[in-house]
Amino acid sequence: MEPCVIRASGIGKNVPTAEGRLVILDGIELEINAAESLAIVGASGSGKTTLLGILAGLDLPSAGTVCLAGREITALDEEQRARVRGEHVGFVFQTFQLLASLTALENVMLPAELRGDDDASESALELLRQVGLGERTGHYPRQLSGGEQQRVAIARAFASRPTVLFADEPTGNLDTGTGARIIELLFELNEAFATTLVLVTHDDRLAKRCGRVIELEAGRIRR
Amino acid sequence: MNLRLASRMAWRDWRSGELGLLLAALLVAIGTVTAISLFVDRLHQALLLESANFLAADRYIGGSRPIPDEFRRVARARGLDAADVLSFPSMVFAGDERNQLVAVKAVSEDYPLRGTLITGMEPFARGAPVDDVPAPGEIWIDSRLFPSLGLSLGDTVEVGMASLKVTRVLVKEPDRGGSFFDLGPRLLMNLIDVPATQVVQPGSRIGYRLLLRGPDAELEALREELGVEPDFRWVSIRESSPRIGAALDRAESFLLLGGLLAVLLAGVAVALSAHRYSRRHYDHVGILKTLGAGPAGILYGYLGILGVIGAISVALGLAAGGGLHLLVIEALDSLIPVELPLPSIRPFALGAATGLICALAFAMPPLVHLKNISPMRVIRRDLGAPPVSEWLTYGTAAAGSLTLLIWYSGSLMLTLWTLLGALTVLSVFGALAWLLLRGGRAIGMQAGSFLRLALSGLQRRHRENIAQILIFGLAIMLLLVLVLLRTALIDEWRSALPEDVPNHFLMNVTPDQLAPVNALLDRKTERQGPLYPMIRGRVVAVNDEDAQAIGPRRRRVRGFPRSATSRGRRRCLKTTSWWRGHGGARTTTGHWCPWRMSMRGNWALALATGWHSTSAAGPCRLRSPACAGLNGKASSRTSSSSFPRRH
Repeated sequence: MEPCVIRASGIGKNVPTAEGRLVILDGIELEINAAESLAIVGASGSGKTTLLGILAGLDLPSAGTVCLAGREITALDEEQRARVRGEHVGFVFQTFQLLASLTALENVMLPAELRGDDDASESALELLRQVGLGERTGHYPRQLSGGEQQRVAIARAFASRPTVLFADEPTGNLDTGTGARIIELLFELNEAFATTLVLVTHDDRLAKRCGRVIELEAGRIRR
Repeated sequence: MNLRLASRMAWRDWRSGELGLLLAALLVAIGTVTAISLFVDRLHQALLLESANFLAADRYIGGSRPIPDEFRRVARARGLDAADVLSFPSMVFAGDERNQLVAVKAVSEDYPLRGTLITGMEPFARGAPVDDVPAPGEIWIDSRLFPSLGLSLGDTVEVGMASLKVTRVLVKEPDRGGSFFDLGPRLLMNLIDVPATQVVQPGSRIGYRLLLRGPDAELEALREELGVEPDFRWVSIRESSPRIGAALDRAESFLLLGGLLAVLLAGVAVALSAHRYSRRHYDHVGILKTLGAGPAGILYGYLGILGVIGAISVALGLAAGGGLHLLVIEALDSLIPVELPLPSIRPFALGAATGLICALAFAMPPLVHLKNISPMRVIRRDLGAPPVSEWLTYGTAAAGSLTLLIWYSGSLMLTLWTLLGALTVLSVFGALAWLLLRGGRAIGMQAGSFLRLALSGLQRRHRENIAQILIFGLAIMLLLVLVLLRTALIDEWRSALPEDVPNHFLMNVTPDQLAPVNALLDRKTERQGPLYPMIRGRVVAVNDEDAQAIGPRRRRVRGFPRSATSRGRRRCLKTTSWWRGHGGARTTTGHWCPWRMSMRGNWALALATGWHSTSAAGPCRLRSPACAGLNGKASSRTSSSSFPRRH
């Protein structure tokens, strides 16, 4: 595997506002190696989430390029970027983002179903067992606690066998105890699947578990 | 996203209740259209079938000259059934002393092609249907000929030069009709015996008909191929009995218009539910995109879901429509005296196509829009969704509505008027809604906090709110139009029939019978008027133009007759200046009145300015006094009376 999984060069992001151009990111240079874990920290409005979206190919920068798993995703159209996401990227969100109309098992099956895999159910069931929800497969998100929902979301993120796992405030909506257990689970699976982990957090405990931490301030990397 | 996954997602959405409203809206559209179409189709078929009995065929080619053999050959080559009918008046003789003028009808073996002959073995008794015609050498005659000619079954009658044996009593024939033209007692004989009678001579007054039966398409193709006019007439029930045709057209138009408005309402419901479904799936799409679904996959996936829902809606809607139309028939059982034939495939095709058009025109645009949702929405909810293309939304809805309107009404003019009405209502409602929202801002400034909050919310999303007001306004307007139309049409139908309109007629009363018949009627009935004299006549001129000269043209006008029966009436004309030739008749009450013409085919020609509203079309429009001349030959004066309809 190529040692550098993500390479971002000269990333800038600005949006037009009534008061003029608002600069969100400015000249970001970043390289993330395979199996590395990176925490992006910073104050609210510093551009953490925007940077995460650009690195994951969810959004396009106003300037600069991003290479993800050997593909320059900033040069791809949305259809191609979606393909790259499906093959290489997993996500965990602060608000879990489970589909309310689907059971836990069906939520975890989704990435494999989108790929057209035949064994979507078996692999999803195995992942749910790994996150300790083997007995709750038929439950809907509304029937699960916040911690359980996040565990389902983690199982879904690993269901696509991602090269890189992006996590946006994964413990932001959880109490301290539950958050700690989720952190354990996240790193445990990350190690098991040898995934590169990029996360945005305000949680110092979580940031400290990562191999590298960068801090953003006013759209620039401070350290 | 493949169809399998789309089906699975459709099932999951259905399970969670997401698709219920959309499915229900499509079901209503398809079910309503199917039910109405099925009912109309079966009623239409039944009416046409019953109406065809008046012709004893689906169509006939008629004329005063023998029908060319080529017509029969071409009709049979097209797989059509054909039968010949030849009719003429003739004197018949029984023995040396008794004779009677009769209406002879000579028929071929296959007669009648529609309806049944009813015959009996005893005069003035009930008969039974038969499926044959008189054998060569035999005749079947009306009950009243038995006493007038002193006949019994088995006796012989002379028709022209032929002696024919009476073997049955003719109780009813399908194409007898009730016109004043055809009053003589009927004598039915086999076509083979006609040459032996020697009554068919040059100058004989003989009517020839080639009866036809078969699919509409083949019949119309035959009409095109033969080009029978102007030497012969091509007659369907609409030409033969315009009132039946007009009633069919009116009933069909109302039901289809009702169906159309129902579909437009359902279309609005489909559009609303599809928008709701779409809005609730913004997050779903964002998540699916982060998991690797591209815009094309999202588009095909949701179109697949719409396809699955459409297919289910069509299947269920057709079944529901079928069940609903059975309920309608059950509810109207007492009003439908005829047995309804099985429906054709058309109502089902109409229902399915309506579902498809509704799905494409009203539900598809918001679902197509889903592909534009940004995947960033999963982490930035404030991103919202890009605005839906208004051209796509309103363009497809307008195109769908237009297609349905034209398809249902079958009339571009009606479609344009309906659209114009809808646009006017939308403009007025739009202006009112805008004024209301604008006025709300001023009120909100002085209102309490709750009301101010609510009004500012309305202001913030004023475009959506105006759109919703328009949609609901249009829906309510369509409902009201339907109710108004129903009421107006029923009123129109009722007003078309005057109070105490007669529904029984007594005819062929001879002058010497007038006094006893009048006395009998006065005692036994609630008749509204005196007996009217009846005189056969022939149209000789229209608007001072010789009738012979306009002969070829008048044949193109449906139902325009060559001859007419004139009836004197007590309450009739303001002027007599119109009349050329004969003056009129004296009624049984002693009042003199000019004649008014009542023409075959329900053509009541207005012969006095402003007096009568019925008018003819095209070259035969009659407006001015002295617009028509009648060569009245009052050789056989008889009278008639009518009895009022009991409401």
